Amino acid sequence: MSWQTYVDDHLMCEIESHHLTAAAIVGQDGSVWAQSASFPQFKPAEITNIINDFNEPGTLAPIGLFLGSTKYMVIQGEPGAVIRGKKGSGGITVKKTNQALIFGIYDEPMTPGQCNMVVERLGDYLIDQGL
Amino acid sequence: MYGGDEVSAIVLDLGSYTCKAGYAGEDAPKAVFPSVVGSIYQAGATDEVKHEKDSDSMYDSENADKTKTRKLERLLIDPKEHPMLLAEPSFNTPQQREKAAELMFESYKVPALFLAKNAVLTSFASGRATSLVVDSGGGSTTIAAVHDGYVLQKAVSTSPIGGEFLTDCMMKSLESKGVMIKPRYSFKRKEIRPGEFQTVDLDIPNTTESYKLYSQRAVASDIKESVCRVPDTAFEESAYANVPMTPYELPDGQTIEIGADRFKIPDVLFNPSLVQTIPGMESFAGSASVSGLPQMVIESINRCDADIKRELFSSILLAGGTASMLQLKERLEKELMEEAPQAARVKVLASGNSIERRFSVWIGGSILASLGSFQQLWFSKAEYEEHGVSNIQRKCP
Repeated sequence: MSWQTYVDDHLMCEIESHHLTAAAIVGQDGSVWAQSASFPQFKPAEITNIINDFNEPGTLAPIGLFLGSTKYMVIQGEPGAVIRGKKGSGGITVKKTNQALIFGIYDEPMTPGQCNMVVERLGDYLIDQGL
Repeated sequence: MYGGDEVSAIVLDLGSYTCKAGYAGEDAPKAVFPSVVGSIYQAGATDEVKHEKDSDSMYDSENADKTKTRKLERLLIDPKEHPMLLAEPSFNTPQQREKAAELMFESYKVPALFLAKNAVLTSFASGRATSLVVDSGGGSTTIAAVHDGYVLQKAVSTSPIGGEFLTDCMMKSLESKGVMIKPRYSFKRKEIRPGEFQTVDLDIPNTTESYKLYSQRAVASDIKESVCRVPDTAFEESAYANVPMTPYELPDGQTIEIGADRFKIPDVLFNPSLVQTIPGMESFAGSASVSGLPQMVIESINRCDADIKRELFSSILLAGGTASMLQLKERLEKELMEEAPQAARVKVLASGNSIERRFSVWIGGSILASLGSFQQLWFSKAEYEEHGVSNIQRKCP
Protein backbone atom coordinates (compact mmCIF):
# COMPACT_ATOMS: atom_id res chain seq x y z
CA MET A 1 0.00 0.00 0.00
CA SER A 2 1.68 3.16 -1.08
CA TRP A 3 1.60 6.31 1.00
CA GLN A 4 -0.32 8.11 -1.70
CA THR A 5 -3.12 5.55 -1.38
CA TYR A 6 -3.27 6.24 2.34
CA VAL A 7 -3.81 9.90 1.62
CA ASP A 8 -6.26 9.45 -1.24
CA ASP A 9 -8.40 6.67 0.21
CA HIS A 10 -8.13 7.07 3.96
CA LEU A 11 -7.61 10.76 4.58
CA MET A 12 -9.45 12.29 1.64
CA CYS A 13 -12.30 9.81 2.04
CA GLU A 14 -15.91 10.81 2.46
CA ILE A 15 -17.13 10.93 6.03
CA GLU A 16 -20.84 11.66 6.46
CA SER A 17 -20.86 13.20 2.98
CA HIS A 18 -18.02 15.63 3.70
CA HIS A 19 -14.32 15.38 3.09
CA LEU A 20 -11.11 17.19 4.04
CA THR A 21 -9.92 19.97 1.78
CA ALA A 22 -6.34 18.77 2.00
CA ALA A 23 -4.25 16.12 3.72
CA ALA A 24 -0.68 14.89 3.84
CA ILE A 25 1.66 12.47 5.55
CA VAL A 26 5.00 14.12 6.25
CA GLY A 27 8.05 12.58 7.85
CA GLN A 28 9.31 14.13 11.03
CA ASP A 29 12.36 15.31 9.14
CA GLY A 30 10.23 17.43 6.84
CA SER A 31 10.15 15.11 3.82
CA VAL A 32 6.76 14.62 2.22
CA TRP A 33 5.72 10.97 2.07
CA ALA A 34 2.45 11.74 0.27
CA GLN A 35 0.11 14.68 -0.07
CA SER A 36 -3.19 15.57 -1.63
CA ALA A 37 -3.44 17.87 -4.62
CA SER A 38 -4.32 21.07 -2.77
CA PHE A 39 -2.02 20.65 0.21
CA PRO A 40 -0.16 23.96 0.74
CA GLN A 41 3.57 24.40 0.30
CA PHE A 42 5.20 24.64 3.68
CA LYS A 43 8.61 25.57 5.05
CA PRO A 44 10.92 23.19 6.95
CA ALA A 45 10.99 25.62 9.87
CA GLU A 46 7.24 25.16 10.32
CA ILE A 47 7.67 21.41 10.69
CA THR A 48 10.43 21.97 13.24
CA ASN A 49 8.10 24.24 15.24
CA ILE A 50 5.40 21.60 15.19
CA ILE A 51 7.82 18.89 16.39
CA ASN A 52 9.00 21.25 19.14
CA ASP A 53 5.43 21.72 20.29
CA PHE A 54 4.90 17.95 20.44
CA ASN A 55 8.00 17.64 22.59
CA GLU A 56 7.17 20.62 24.76
CA PRO A 57 3.46 21.33 24.56
CA GLY A 58 2.53 24.98 24.77
CA THR A 59 5.27 26.56 22.68
CA LEU A 60 3.04 27.15 19.66
CA ALA A 61 0.06 28.61 21.48
CA PRO A 62 1.32 32.21 21.85
CA ILE A 63 2.76 32.35 18.34
CA GLY A 64 0.25 30.35 16.37
CA LEU A 65 0.54 27.37 14.07
CA PHE A 66 1.87 28.31 10.64
CA LEU A 67 1.60 26.11 7.60
CA GLY A 68 2.43 27.61 4.26
CA SER A 69 0.94 31.06 4.28
CA THR A 70 -1.86 30.28 6.71
CA LYS A 71 -1.87 30.93 10.42
CA TYR A 72 -4.00 28.78 12.72
CA MET A 73 -4.94 29.54 16.34
CA VAL A 74 -3.94 26.67 18.59
CA ILE A 75 -6.89 25.25 20.52
CA GLN A 76 -7.05 22.36 22.97
CA GLY A 77 -5.22 19.33 21.63
CA GLU A 78 -3.63 16.28 23.27
CA PRO A 79 -0.15 17.08 24.58
CA GLY A 80 2.48 15.10 22.71
CA ALA A 81 -0.01 13.43 20.36
CA VAL A 82 -2.36 15.83 18.62
CA ILE A 83 -2.26 19.53 17.78
CA ARG A 84 -5.52 21.15 16.73
CA GLY A 85 -5.72 24.55 15.13
CA LYS A 86 -8.56 26.75 14.04
CA LYS A 87 -8.90 29.36 11.37
CA GLY A 88 -12.27 30.96 10.87
CA SER A 89 -14.74 28.23 10.05
CA GLY A 90 -12.06 25.69 9.22
CA GLY A 91 -8.92 24.39 10.79
CA ILE A 92 -6.23 21.77 10.93
CA THR A 93 -5.45 18.61 12.89
CA VAL A 94 -1.90 17.27 13.19
CA LYS A 95 -1.36 13.78 14.59
CA LYS A 96 2.07 12.54 15.52
CA THR A 97 2.96 8.91 14.86
CA ASN A 98 6.28 7.23 15.56
CA GLN A 99 8.01 8.48 12.43
CA ALA A 100 5.59 10.83 10.72
CA LEU A 101 3.09 13.63 11.06
CA ILE A 102 -0.38 13.33 9.60
CA PHE A 103 -2.02 16.58 8.52
CA GLY A 104 -5.70 17.10 7.85
CA ILE A 105 -7.06 20.48 6.77
CA TYR A 106 -10.81 21.01 6.80
CA ASP A 107 -13.27 23.77 6.06
CA GLU A 108 -17.02 24.26 6.25
CA PRO A 109 -19.26 22.24 6.25
CA MET A 110 -16.98 19.63 7.77
CA THR A 111 -16.76 19.81 11.56
CA PRO A 112 -13.60 19.75 13.67
CA GLY A 113 -14.83 16.52 15.27
CA GLN A 114 -15.03 14.79 11.89
CA CYS A 115 -11.56 15.94 10.86
CA ASN A 116 -10.16 14.75 14.18
CA MET A 117 -11.75 11.34 13.69
CA VAL A 118 -10.26 10.82 10.24
CA VAL A 119 -6.75 12.03 11.02
CA GLU A 120 -6.40 10.49 14.44
CA ARG A 121 -7.85 7.13 13.43
CA LEU A 122 -5.30 6.76 10.66
CA GLY A 123 -2.60 7.90 13.08
CA ASP A 124 -3.55 5.26 15.62
CA TYR A 125 -3.48 2.61 12.91
CA LEU A 126 -0.01 3.64 11.76
CA ILE A 127 1.27 3.70 15.32
CA ASP A 128 0.01 0.14 15.72
CA GLN A 129 1.90 -0.81 12.58
CA GLY A 130 5.06 0.69 14.03
CA LEU A 131 5.15 3.70 11.72
CA MET B 1 -24.37 10.98 13.64
CA TYR B 2 -27.45 11.60 15.70
CA GLY B 3 -30.20 13.55 14.08
CA GLY B 4 -32.88 14.00 16.66
CA ASP B 5 -34.63 17.28 16.30
CA GLU B 6 -38.06 16.39 17.62
CA VAL B 7 -36.80 15.36 20.99
CA SER B 8 -35.31 18.23 22.89
CA ALA B 9 -31.94 17.87 24.50
CA ILE B 10 -31.23 18.21 28.20
CA VAL B 11 -28.63 20.76 29.26
CA LEU B 12 -26.76 19.93 32.46
CA ASP B 13 -24.40 22.29 34.24
CA LEU B 14 -22.87 20.72 37.36
CA GLY B 15 -21.26 23.61 39.14
CA SER B 16 -19.32 23.55 42.36
CA TYR B 17 -22.02 25.44 44.21
CA THR B 18 -25.27 24.85 42.34
CA CYS B 19 -26.38 22.43 39.67
CA LYS B 20 -28.51 23.68 36.85
CA ALA B 21 -30.57 21.47 34.58
CA GLY B 22 -33.29 22.00 32.05
CA TYR B 23 -34.42 21.59 28.48
CA ALA B 24 -32.59 23.06 25.54
CA GLY B 25 -34.42 25.91 23.90
CA GLU B 26 -35.74 27.38 27.15
CA ASP B 27 -34.40 30.58 28.61
CA ALA B 28 -33.71 29.39 32.14
CA PRO B 29 -32.94 26.06 33.81
CA LYS B 30 -35.94 24.27 35.29
CA ALA B 31 -34.05 22.68 38.16
CA VAL B 32 -31.52 24.61 40.20
CA PHE B 33 -30.30 23.14 43.45
CA PRO B 34 -27.19 23.16 45.61
CA SER B 35 -24.41 20.75 44.75
CA VAL B 36 -24.51 19.22 48.15
CA VAL B 37 -24.81 15.59 49.00
CA GLY B 38 -26.31 14.58 52.28
CA SER B 39 -25.46 11.07 53.31
CA ILE B 40 -27.10 9.33 56.15
CA TYR B 41 -25.10 6.68 57.90
CA GLN B 42 -27.28 3.85 59.02
CA ALA B 43 -25.38 3.14 62.20
CA GLY B 44 -25.48 6.53 63.83
CA ALA B 45 -28.47 7.98 61.93
CA THR B 46 -26.79 11.34 61.55
CA ASP B 47 -26.82 13.71 58.61
CA GLU B 48 -23.58 14.56 56.97
CA VAL B 49 -23.35 17.31 54.44
CA LYS B 50 -20.65 17.26 51.84
CA HIS B 51 -20.10 19.97 49.32
CA GLU B 52 -18.60 18.73 46.11
CA LYS B 53 -16.13 21.56 45.73
CA ASP B 54 -13.55 19.90 43.63
CA SER B 55 -14.68 19.29 40.09
CA ASP B 56 -12.55 16.17 40.29
CA SER B 57 -14.89 14.55 42.70
CA MET B 58 -17.84 15.86 40.74
CA TYR B 59 -17.24 13.22 38.15
CA ASP B 60 -15.36 10.58 40.06
CA SER B 61 -17.19 9.76 43.18
CA GLU B 62 -20.53 8.11 43.55
CA ASN B 63 -21.71 11.44 44.90
CA ALA B 64 -21.63 12.81 41.41
CA ASP B 65 -23.82 9.93 40.43
CA LYS B 66 -26.31 10.78 43.15
CA THR B 67 -26.37 14.44 42.19
CA LYS B 68 -27.05 13.58 38.58
CA THR B 69 -29.74 11.05 39.45
CA ARG B 70 -31.41 13.55 41.72
CA LYS B 71 -31.38 16.14 39.02
CA LEU B 72 -32.76 13.84 36.39
CA GLU B 73 -35.50 12.76 38.78
CA ARG B 74 -36.42 16.35 39.49
CA LEU B 75 -36.82 17.00 35.83
CA LEU B 76 -38.98 13.88 35.62
CA ILE B 77 -37.31 12.62 32.50
CA ASP B 78 -35.96 9.35 31.33
CA PRO B 79 -32.32 9.84 30.30
CA LYS B 80 -32.66 7.18 27.61
CA GLU B 81 -34.84 9.45 25.53
CA HIS B 82 -32.94 12.71 25.55
CA PRO B 83 -29.53 13.65 24.19
CA MET B 84 -27.47 15.26 26.93
CA LEU B 85 -25.34 18.36 26.71
CA LEU B 86 -22.94 18.51 29.65
CA ALA B 87 -21.14 21.69 30.56
CA GLU B 88 -17.64 21.01 31.79
CA PRO B 89 -14.97 23.21 33.40
CA SER B 90 -12.58 24.72 30.89
CA PHE B 91 -9.66 22.98 32.57
CA ASN B 92 -11.18 19.50 32.62
CA THR B 93 -8.62 16.75 32.07
CA PRO B 94 -9.07 14.06 29.41
CA GLN B 95 -9.51 11.43 32.12
CA GLN B 96 -12.40 13.30 33.67
CA ARG B 97 -14.07 13.74 30.29
CA GLU B 98 -13.80 10.05 29.57
CA LYS B 99 -15.19 9.23 32.99
CA ALA B 100 -18.13 11.53 32.43
CA ALA B 101 -18.82 10.02 29.02
CA GLU B 102 -18.63 6.50 30.44
CA LEU B 103 -20.99 7.43 33.26
CA MET B 104 -23.50 8.93 30.87
CA PHE B 105 -23.50 6.08 28.39
CA GLU B 106 -23.20 3.15 30.78
CA SER B 107 -25.33 4.16 33.74
CA TYR B 108 -27.81 6.53 32.19
CA LYS B 109 -27.87 5.09 28.68
CA VAL B 110 -28.24 8.45 26.98
CA PRO B 111 -28.70 8.26 23.23
CA ALA B 112 -26.18 11.01 22.51
CA LEU B 113 -23.79 13.23 24.42
CA PHE B 114 -21.76 16.37 23.93
CA LEU B 115 -19.29 17.93 26.34
CA ALA B 116 -18.99 21.68 26.01
CA LYS B 117 -16.63 23.93 27.92
CA ASN B 118 -18.18 26.46 30.28
CA ALA B 119 -16.31 29.38 28.76
CA VAL B 120 -17.56 28.57 25.26
CA LEU B 121 -21.16 28.38 26.44
CA THR B 122 -20.93 31.73 28.23
CA SER B 123 -19.50 33.22 25.08
CA PHE B 124 -22.44 31.94 23.03
CA ALA B 125 -24.93 33.20 25.59
CA SER B 126 -23.67 36.72 24.96
CA GLY B 127 -23.69 36.27 21.21
CA ARG B 128 -19.94 36.41 20.70
CA ALA B 129 -17.62 33.83 19.19
CA THR B 130 -14.48 35.43 20.62
CA SER B 131 -14.14 36.74 24.15
CA LEU B 132 -12.29 36.43 27.42
CA VAL B 133 -14.62 34.78 29.92
CA VAL B 134 -14.24 35.57 33.61
CA ASP B 135 -16.40 33.01 35.39
CA SER B 136 -16.61 33.75 39.10
CA GLY B 137 -18.73 31.06 40.64
CA GLY B 138 -19.17 29.45 44.01
CA GLY B 139 -16.12 27.26 44.21
CA SER B 140 -13.56 29.06 42.12
CA THR B 141 -12.88 31.73 39.54
CA THR B 142 -11.83 30.63 36.07
CA ILE B 143 -10.53 32.83 33.27
CA ALA B 144 -10.49 31.39 29.76
CA ALA B 145 -9.97 32.86 26.32
CA VAL B 146 -12.42 31.71 23.65
CA HIS B 147 -11.70 32.25 19.97
CA ASP B 148 -14.25 31.39 17.30
CA GLY B 149 -16.04 29.11 19.73
CA TYR B 150 -13.01 27.19 20.98
CA VAL B 151 -10.99 27.61 24.16
CA LEU B 152 -7.40 28.55 23.40
CA GLN B 153 -4.82 26.22 24.77
CA LYS B 154 -2.75 27.56 27.64
CA ALA B 155 -4.98 30.56 28.20
CA VAL B 156 -6.98 29.09 31.07
CA SER B 157 -6.23 30.08 34.66
CA THR B 158 -8.08 29.34 37.88
CA SER B 159 -8.08 30.72 41.37
CA PRO B 160 -9.68 29.07 44.40
CA ILE B 161 -11.26 32.36 45.43
CA GLY B 162 -14.95 32.13 44.70
CA GLY B 163 -18.28 32.86 46.35
CA GLU B 164 -17.87 30.17 48.99
CA PHE B 165 -14.48 31.50 49.97
CA LEU B 166 -15.87 34.99 50.40
CA THR B 167 -18.72 33.59 52.49
CA ASP B 168 -16.15 31.90 54.73
CA CYS B 169 -14.35 35.21 55.13
CA MET B 170 -17.61 36.85 56.12
CA MET B 171 -18.36 34.15 58.68
CA LYS B 172 -14.91 34.31 60.24
CA SER B 173 -15.05 38.07 60.35
CA LEU B 174 -18.41 38.07 62.11
CA GLU B 175 -17.28 35.39 64.55
CA SER B 176 -14.28 37.45 65.50
CA LYS B 177 -16.58 40.36 66.26
CA GLY B 178 -18.58 38.15 68.58
CA VAL B 179 -21.66 37.70 66.39
CA MET B 180 -23.25 34.28 66.77
CA ILE B 181 -24.99 33.12 63.65
CA LYS B 182 -27.71 30.72 64.69
CA PRO B 183 -28.58 28.16 62.04
CA ARG B 184 -32.13 28.49 60.82
CA TYR B 185 -33.30 25.18 62.20
CA SER B 186 -32.11 25.86 65.74
CA PHE B 187 -34.78 28.29 66.82
CA LYS B 188 -38.44 29.13 66.49
CA ARG B 189 -40.03 32.54 66.65
CA LYS B 190 -43.17 32.83 68.71
CA GLU B 191 -45.48 35.80 68.53
CA ILE B 192 -46.09 36.84 72.15
CA ARG B 193 -47.80 40.10 71.30
CA PRO B 194 -48.98 41.36 67.92
CA GLY B 195 -45.89 42.53 66.07
CA GLU B 196 -43.47 41.34 68.73
CA PHE B 197 -41.59 38.11 68.45
CA GLN B 198 -39.69 36.06 70.94
CA THR B 199 -37.02 33.65 69.88
CA VAL B 200 -37.19 30.20 71.39
CA ASP B 201 -34.14 28.02 71.01
CA LEU B 202 -34.80 24.51 69.82
CA ASP B 203 -32.60 21.62 70.66
CA ILE B 204 -32.40 19.22 67.78
CA PRO B 205 -30.17 16.29 68.57
CA ASN B 206 -28.41 14.29 65.90
CA THR B 207 -27.41 17.19 63.72
CA THR B 208 -23.79 17.03 62.75
CA GLU B 209 -21.20 19.75 62.60
CA SER B 210 -21.24 19.79 58.85
CA TYR B 211 -24.98 20.44 58.65
CA LYS B 212 -24.71 23.21 61.21
CA LEU B 213 -21.90 24.78 59.24
CA TYR B 214 -23.91 24.47 56.06
CA SER B 215 -26.87 26.28 57.59
CA GLN B 216 -24.66 29.01 59.03
CA ARG B 217 -23.04 29.44 55.66
CA ALA B 218 -26.45 29.93 54.08
CA VAL B 219 -27.07 32.87 56.42
CA ALA B 220 -23.61 34.34 55.91
CA SER B 221 -24.09 33.97 52.18
CA ASP B 222 -27.24 36.00 52.32
CA ILE B 223 -25.46 38.72 54.33
CA LYS B 224 -22.71 38.80 51.77
CA GLU B 225 -25.12 39.07 48.87
CA SER B 226 -27.19 41.85 50.41
CA VAL B 227 -24.63 44.21 51.89
CA CYS B 228 -21.31 43.69 50.15
CA ARG B 229 -20.04 46.05 47.48
CA VAL B 230 -16.74 46.11 45.65
CA PRO B 231 -14.85 49.28 46.67
CA ASP B 232 -13.91 51.74 43.93
CA THR B 233 -10.22 51.61 44.81
CA ALA B 234 -8.06 49.15 46.69
CA PHE B 235 -9.22 48.61 50.24
CA GLU B 236 -7.26 50.27 53.05
CA GLU B 237 -8.10 49.81 56.73
CA SER B 238 -7.59 53.46 57.57
CA ALA B 239 -9.73 54.81 54.77
CA TYR B 240 -12.72 52.69 55.68
CA ALA B 241 -12.43 52.83 59.45
CA ASN B 242 -15.15 55.43 59.75
CA VAL B 243 -17.50 54.24 57.04
CA PRO B 244 -21.18 54.27 58.13
CA MET B 245 -22.44 50.87 59.26
CA THR B 246 -25.23 49.07 57.48
CA PRO B 247 -27.74 47.19 59.61
CA TYR B 248 -28.74 43.62 58.76
CA GLU B 249 -31.38 41.59 60.52
CA LEU B 250 -30.47 37.97 61.17
CA PRO B 251 -33.24 35.33 60.93
CA ASP B 252 -33.42 35.07 64.72
CA GLY B 253 -34.23 38.77 65.11
CA GLN B 254 -30.75 39.99 66.07
CA THR B 255 -29.65 43.08 64.17
CA ILE B 256 -26.00 43.38 63.34
CA GLU B 257 -24.04 46.29 61.96
CA ILE B 258 -21.56 45.76 59.18
CA GLY B 259 -19.06 48.47 58.40
CA ALA B 260 -15.70 48.11 56.75
CA ASP B 261 -16.29 44.41 56.03
CA ARG B 262 -18.81 45.40 53.38
CA PHE B 263 -15.92 46.55 51.24
CA LYS B 264 -13.10 44.43 52.58
CA ILE B 265 -14.56 41.04 51.75
CA PRO B 266 -15.22 41.68 48.02
CA ASP B 267 -11.80 43.29 47.71
CA VAL B 268 -10.28 39.87 48.41
CA LEU B 269 -11.10 39.08 44.79
CA PHE B 270 -8.74 41.83 43.69
CA ASN B 271 -6.19 41.51 46.45
CA PRO B 272 -6.00 38.00 47.89
CA SER B 273 -3.38 38.93 50.45
CA LEU B 274 -6.11 40.90 52.27
CA VAL B 275 -7.32 37.57 53.55
CA GLN B 276 -4.43 37.56 56.01
CA THR B 277 -5.97 40.46 57.86
CA ILE B 278 -9.21 38.63 58.55
CA PRO B 279 -8.93 36.88 61.90
CA GLY B 280 -9.35 33.15 61.54
CA MET B 281 -8.35 33.07 57.89
CA GLU B 282 -4.61 33.45 58.27
CA SER B 283 -4.18 29.77 57.59
CA PHE B 284 -5.14 30.21 53.94
CA ALA B 285 -1.82 29.06 52.61
CA GLY B 286 -2.44 29.68 48.96
CA SER B 287 -2.75 33.45 49.18
CA ALA B 288 0.92 33.93 48.37
CA SER B 289 0.60 32.33 44.96
CA VAL B 290 -2.91 33.42 44.09
CA SER B 291 -3.17 36.61 42.04
CA GLY B 292 -5.98 39.09 42.02
CA LEU B 293 -8.58 39.17 39.28
CA PRO B 294 -7.01 41.91 37.09
CA GLN B 295 -3.60 40.20 37.16
CA MET B 296 -5.13 36.89 36.16
CA VAL B 297 -6.94 38.53 33.24
CA ILE B 298 -3.75 40.18 31.97
CA GLU B 299 -1.77 36.94 32.36
CA SER B 300 -4.37 35.00 30.43
CA ILE B 301 -4.47 37.48 27.56
CA ASN B 302 -0.69 37.61 27.38
CA ARG B 303 -0.56 33.88 26.86
CA CYS B 304 -2.71 34.19 23.76
CA ASP B 305 -1.78 34.84 20.20
CA ALA B 306 -0.74 38.42 19.59
CA ASP B 307 -3.32 38.88 16.85
CA ILE B 308 -6.34 38.47 19.04
CA LYS B 309 -5.14 40.24 22.18
CA ARG B 310 -6.84 43.45 21.21
CA GLU B 311 -10.12 41.73 20.51
CA LEU B 312 -9.95 39.92 23.84
CA PHE B 313 -9.38 43.14 25.75
CA SER B 314 -12.47 44.68 24.26
CA SER B 315 -14.74 41.72 24.97
CA ILE B 316 -14.27 40.59 28.54
CA LEU B 317 -17.39 38.76 29.75
CA LEU B 318 -18.40 38.40 33.37
CA ALA B 319 -20.30 35.30 34.40
CA GLY B 320 -21.18 33.40 37.55
CA GLY B 321 -22.93 34.19 40.80
CA THR B 322 -20.08 36.12 42.37
CA ALA B 323 -19.87 38.32 39.29
CA SER B 324 -23.21 39.84 40.31
CA MET B 325 -21.52 41.65 43.17
CA LEU B 326 -22.21 45.37 43.01
CA GLN B 327 -19.61 47.52 41.29
CA LEU B 328 -17.45 44.54 40.26
CA LYS B 329 -17.70 45.38 36.57
CA GLU B 330 -16.72 49.02 37.06
CA ARG B 331 -13.80 48.22 39.34
CA LEU B 332 -12.44 45.52 37.04
CA GLU B 333 -12.64 47.83 34.04
CA LYS B 334 -10.80 50.53 35.92
CA GLU B 335 -8.03 48.23 37.13
CA LEU B 336 -7.57 46.71 33.69
CA MET B 337 -7.32 50.07 31.97
CA GLU B 338 -4.44 50.93 34.26
CA GLU B 339 -2.58 47.70 33.71
CA ALA B 340 -3.31 47.01 30.06
CA PRO B 341 -1.00 48.18 27.27
CA GLN B 342 -1.71 51.72 26.15
CA ALA B 343 -3.22 51.01 22.78
CA ALA B 344 -5.76 48.49 24.01
CA ARG B 345 -9.36 49.50 24.53
CA VAL B 346 -10.72 47.69 27.56
CA LYS B 347 -14.39 46.79 27.75
CA VAL B 348 -15.93 44.57 30.41
CA LEU B 349 -19.37 43.28 29.52
CA ALA B 350 -21.88 41.82 31.87
CA SER B 351 -25.50 41.10 31.33
CA GLY B 352 -27.59 43.54 33.33
CA ASN B 353 -29.88 40.82 34.60
CA SER B 354 -28.28 38.93 37.49
CA ILE B 355 -30.23 35.76 36.63
CA GLU B 356 -28.54 35.76 33.26
CA ARG B 357 -25.11 36.19 34.84
CA ARG B 358 -25.62 33.26 37.19
CA PHE B 359 -26.95 30.95 34.54
CA SER B 360 -25.00 32.17 31.51
CA VAL B 361 -23.28 28.80 31.09
CA TRP B 362 -26.61 26.99 31.12
CA ILE B 363 -28.22 29.51 28.78
CA GLY B 364 -25.33 29.14 26.35
CA GLY B 365 -25.87 25.39 26.43
CA SER B 366 -29.56 25.86 25.76
CA ILE B 367 -28.76 28.01 22.72
CA LEU B 368 -26.10 25.63 21.42
CA ALA B 369 -28.20 22.50 21.73
CA SER B 370 -31.09 24.03 19.84
CA LEU B 371 -29.03 25.17 16.84
CA GLY B 372 -29.69 23.26 13.66
CA SER B 373 -26.01 23.18 12.81
CA PHE B 374 -25.22 21.57 16.14
CA GLN B 375 -27.21 18.40 15.52
CA GLN B 376 -24.39 16.78 13.56
CA LEU B 377 -21.91 17.28 16.41
CA TRP B 378 -23.52 14.88 18.87
CA PHE B 379 -21.43 11.93 20.01
CA SER B 380 -23.96 9.12 19.68
CA LYS B 381 -24.25 5.88 21.60
CA ALA B 382 -23.55 3.93 18.43
CA GLU B 383 -20.24 5.75 17.99
CA TYR B 384 -19.38 5.18 21.62
CA GLU B 385 -19.99 1.47 21.28
CA GLU B 386 -18.14 1.21 18.01
CA HIS B 387 -15.08 3.30 18.74
CA GLY B 388 -14.82 3.49 22.49
CA VAL B 389 -14.75 6.30 24.95
CA SER B 390 -11.51 7.96 23.76
CA ASN B 391 -13.38 9.27 20.75
CA ILE B 392 -14.97 11.83 23.03
CA GLN B 393 -11.70 13.78 22.89
CA ARG B 394 -11.95 13.99 19.13
CA LYS B 395 -15.61 14.74 18.73
CA CYS B 396 -15.76 17.37 21.44
CA PRO B 397 -12.61 19.44 21.07
